Amino acid sequence: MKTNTKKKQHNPKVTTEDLKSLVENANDGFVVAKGEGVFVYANKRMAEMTGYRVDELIGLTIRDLLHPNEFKKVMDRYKKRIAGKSILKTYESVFVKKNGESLPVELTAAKTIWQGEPADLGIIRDISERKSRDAEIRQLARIVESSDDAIIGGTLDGTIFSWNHGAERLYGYSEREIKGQRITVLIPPERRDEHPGILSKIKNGEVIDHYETIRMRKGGKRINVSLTASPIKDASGKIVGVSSIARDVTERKLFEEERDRFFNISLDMLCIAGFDGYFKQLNPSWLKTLGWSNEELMSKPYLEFVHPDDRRPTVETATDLAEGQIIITFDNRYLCKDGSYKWISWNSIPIIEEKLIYAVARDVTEQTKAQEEIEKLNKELEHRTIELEAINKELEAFSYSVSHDLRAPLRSIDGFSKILLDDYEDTLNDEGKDCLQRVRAASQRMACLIDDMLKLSHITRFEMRRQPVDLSKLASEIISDLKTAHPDRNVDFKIRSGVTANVDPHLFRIVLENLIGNAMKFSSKRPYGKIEFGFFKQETGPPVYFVRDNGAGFDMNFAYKLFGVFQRLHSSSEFPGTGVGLATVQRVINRHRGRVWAEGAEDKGATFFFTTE
Amino acid sequence: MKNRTILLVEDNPDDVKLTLRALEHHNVINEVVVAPDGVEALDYLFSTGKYADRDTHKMPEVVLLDLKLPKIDGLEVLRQLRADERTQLLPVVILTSSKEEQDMIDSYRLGANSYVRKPVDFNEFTEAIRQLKLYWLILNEAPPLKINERS
Repeated sequence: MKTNTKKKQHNPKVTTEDLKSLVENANDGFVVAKGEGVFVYANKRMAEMTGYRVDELIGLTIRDLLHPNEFKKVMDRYKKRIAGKSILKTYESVFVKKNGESLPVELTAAKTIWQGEPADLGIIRDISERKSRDAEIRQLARIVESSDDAIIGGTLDGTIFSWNHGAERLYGYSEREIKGQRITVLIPPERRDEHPGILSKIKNGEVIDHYETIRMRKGGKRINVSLTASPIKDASGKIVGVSSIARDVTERKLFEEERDRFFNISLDMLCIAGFDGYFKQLNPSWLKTLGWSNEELMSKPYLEFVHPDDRRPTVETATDLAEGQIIITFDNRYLCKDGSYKWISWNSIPIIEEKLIYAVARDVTEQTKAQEEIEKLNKELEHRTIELEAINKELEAFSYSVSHDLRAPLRSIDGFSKILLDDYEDTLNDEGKDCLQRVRAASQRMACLIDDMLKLSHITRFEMRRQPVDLSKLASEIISDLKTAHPDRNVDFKIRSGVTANVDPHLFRIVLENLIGNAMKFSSKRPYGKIEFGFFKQETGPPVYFVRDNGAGFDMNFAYKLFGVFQRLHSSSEFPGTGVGLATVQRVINRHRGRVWAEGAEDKGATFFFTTE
Repeated sequence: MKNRTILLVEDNPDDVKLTLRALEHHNVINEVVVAPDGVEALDYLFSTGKYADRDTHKMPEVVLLDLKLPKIDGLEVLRQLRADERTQLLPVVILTSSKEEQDMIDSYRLGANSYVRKPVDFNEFTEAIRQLKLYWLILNEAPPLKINERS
């Protein structure tokens, strides 16, 4: 302060030496040219800038320093200046340094007096730094200008002062229209209250990074943008404005919304998991299936929810995925909130560059249980089949034994009774003979029972071979045999033609033999027998076949006994038989997954119905 | 009527008695040799064991063979008969209680000449024996005795 005061108070004489020192030490180059522009003086700075020594500069002309392209421009100016035309004293040009490099300079030319004679004074400033900075700024400006993002500069009070093409494209306003306007014209009314918050953060020097919000185009159309706002500081670091970069994410938003819609309505569990072992995103199905909230599931590594026995394969699968394998299906058990486990089946693909696994999962607990149940049942069934086979073998041995061994004593009983009757005919009285006849009759009857029982067991063991069988034809053959066997009988047979069924022909011959044979037997007391074989279709269910007669019939109260083994509704003296025939019929029909039943009334005939599958 | 023996292979003494009586009834005078099991039947036919002294050239007219026998059963006896040159062509009638299909198939497959199921009714049984006698002892010509010597 003291010095300044002195300067104001005094005006001391400046000496030539003083001036020389100033010029010599100046940061600009100084040259003086005389006559045809020949340098007669150059300062140190001039030498530094151009790479020539001072003594080399003396004697050179401006032309020797100027870039060839610049010479004409400079000469034109010189001529204009000589002609006394008004031109700018300072202008930019380019020199060529001694080493050939270009040097951007700012030239200031003036008239002066040098050693008592008129001369030209040139002051030359090295502007190479400024030039390169300008170029940088221009490049940055071009980048901003050409950016697809909307880049806006605003003051702290919200006035727009900078607006690039991206902004024009995004918001629809031209730079001219918008400059000087308030930034709030871009914010929809329903969102205006978020603006003060953003602004106060900026004022605190904070940066708002990728903030997703809604902005408004010229005309009011809403657009989804991702916004990054940061403070603009002046040279002193003071916050003087806001720069904001906005990107249009409307399409991405739509896509995301669409994706989320599927994500949210999917019955399957969808998720994105990181290679780091954590879930990143989960849809609502997880809550429904496992009972955990998404926050709970995302709070710890997913492996902790996996059943301990399944962790190893799960880790192996995750490793495969991280190595780029696509796992089509993979099953493991997940812990539910209630402590139970559920079987989850996965389809997963990795996105290596994002280090993420995209997966669709499904609760297959029920299927797995069903599968296990089926396997268990199959095992049981296998076991039972083996048991049954053993029982069957036993039964075969049993029936063989019955067939062979039970008959032998019967033969003895009958045979020796006969011998008694023959050899002791004279000594036996009628009572004795009658007794022996009864013994013989009983043993023969027992032999019949044994034979029938064996037949019945054969039916069950017989290997069935189904094929289309013409039942009408089969019935005709049986009837023809019966007619031959009973030539004295007067029976009217009625056979519906063309009745077929997919059955075992051998077993169905037995069925029809029994049914028609029974019809024949039980109508034997009628002067005119009537026997009918036919069939009819039902509204639902399989067609029904039947054999009808006009014979003795039966009491419907005992209908349930008809198909029992050795069950008879008539005495053998009335109608002979062992009570095995209908039991045999029922077994055959059962083996064909059909049904057999009878309708009748005492002395009013009977009808036997059957179906097959 | 030929005079060769009849070999009855039957373990049940009742059946033996009934069969003999039926044969007698129909005037069969051939000697009936009874073997109560398979081993004795083979001994007789091949002249081994208790029949070691028997002349193998004298083969029975017919063998009436039961299936269910102690020690060696009827089917095995039949198999061994057919495997041996000496008895290869010997007429064998299976006379059994069994009517099992499998027994019939096995018997015929092993070379039985006939299969007769013993009826329980003694009248029928006697009739069956009569017919067997008629066929095998009267109508049928047994293979020559010295067949083994010619081969």
